[in-house]
Amino acid sequence: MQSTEMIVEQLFKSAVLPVIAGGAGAFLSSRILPDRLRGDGAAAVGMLAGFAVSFYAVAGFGGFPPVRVDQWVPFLGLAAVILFAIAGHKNTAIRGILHLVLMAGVLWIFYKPLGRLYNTWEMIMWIGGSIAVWAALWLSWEGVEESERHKELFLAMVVTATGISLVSVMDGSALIGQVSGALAASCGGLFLASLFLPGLRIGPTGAAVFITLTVGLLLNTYHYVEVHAVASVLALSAGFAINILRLPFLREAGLIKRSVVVCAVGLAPIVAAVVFLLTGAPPEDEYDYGY
Amino acid sequence: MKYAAILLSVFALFPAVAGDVFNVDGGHSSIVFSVKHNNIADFYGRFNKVDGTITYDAGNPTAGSFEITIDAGSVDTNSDRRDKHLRNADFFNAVQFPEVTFKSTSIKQKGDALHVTGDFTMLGKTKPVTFEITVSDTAQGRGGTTLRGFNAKTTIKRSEWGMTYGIGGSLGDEVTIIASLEGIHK
Repeated sequence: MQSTEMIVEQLFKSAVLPVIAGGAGAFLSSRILPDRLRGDGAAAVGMLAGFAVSFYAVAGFGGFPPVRVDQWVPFLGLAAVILFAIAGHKNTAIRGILHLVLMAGVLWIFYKPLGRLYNTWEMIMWIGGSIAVWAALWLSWEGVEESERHKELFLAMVVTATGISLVSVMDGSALIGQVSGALAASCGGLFLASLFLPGLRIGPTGAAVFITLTVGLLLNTYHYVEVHAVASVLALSAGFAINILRLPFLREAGLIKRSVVVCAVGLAPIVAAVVFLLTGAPPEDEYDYGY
Repeated sequence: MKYAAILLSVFALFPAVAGDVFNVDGGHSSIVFSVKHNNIADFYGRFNKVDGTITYDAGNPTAGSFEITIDAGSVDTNSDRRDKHLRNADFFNAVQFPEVTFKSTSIKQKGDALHVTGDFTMLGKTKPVTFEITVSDTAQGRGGTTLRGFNAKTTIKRSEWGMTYGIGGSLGDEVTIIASLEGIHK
């Protein structure tokens, strides 16, 4: 197979397939799920469907339980869908407990193999930092008022996952870059589906799935792909761009204005990360990822 | 008679490994691998850190053993970016699986060479692999140590260990591994 054909095939798997699977997953689940899950639950199922289908098309299905830590990410997303579909609608305290359960699973899977690299204090620092990031993401994504859960949230997710994808591809792993791109494309599919399904929205279930997948991919990107810390933090910070929507003058703004603002705020650190990686790359090293 | 039977039972639990024990001298050993790029040229890389123990009896070579450990993170292909790519999830996943190991389970003599079959573990998967190994005569090292060389070669399909990046594209599935190990007698 020629390199061009291979690139086209990989682009289909990580960019086109998740749009289709994500949109179709949301559409079908909005028809099947009970009323209380049709908006938020359908978005969560669609997001996971698009991501997982693309993940397995790109990386293959490694069986269960997975051997590689990155292969756990779709299963963690599935756990988030199941937990929040069952009990996530109840109250904030229960959702907090569910987030704790998911977070414990993610941290256990991603930090367990790192025990030989970090001493106890370093490990405490890393796990503590990861818990703080998770909590901040939860507060950010759940903090958006119910009345403000508009379609632009899907675009904010596209921007965040695109950032993780870009830094991964530019600084180490095509595979992790592709599957992160799959998450971005899946959220893009949800945005397109939301144009036809007005009730489709991001609520606690969709937020929990997105945070689980995002934190899993970010931990992989930094600890296992060895993406530079500065680029990793910049990619992470895009996930907090959504908080700009809390500003009073944006609350009453229309979809286009809110979309443009949240995407611009999210893209700013990603552009900075790309520039950082481009300027930091040794010019004489022309490695092309095997293509 | 009873004690003799017990002793025989105990010995039967352990494989018959006999001979001189050599520690692999990482400073004078090479682990090189090659893979087809664009289906035309063999691309070579190496691992800079190798360790292990070899038991070898010149009088009975099939009774020996080979235990080799390669530091997956020491992969070196003359490009920092490529080495980083090889270390991560697309290839060796060296943070999660820091070692590639080989532990012999049986040895057969075929002509001048040994066909050493054993468990080859990479990316958390263990599968049998057979190396063809030629063994040198001994030489004297500094300080009067006894040295012996072991030259091993095999070809594996990396996809069998779940390393599939680039297969079907510009990178081949088959990887030839060449190990030239210098052993220092213990």
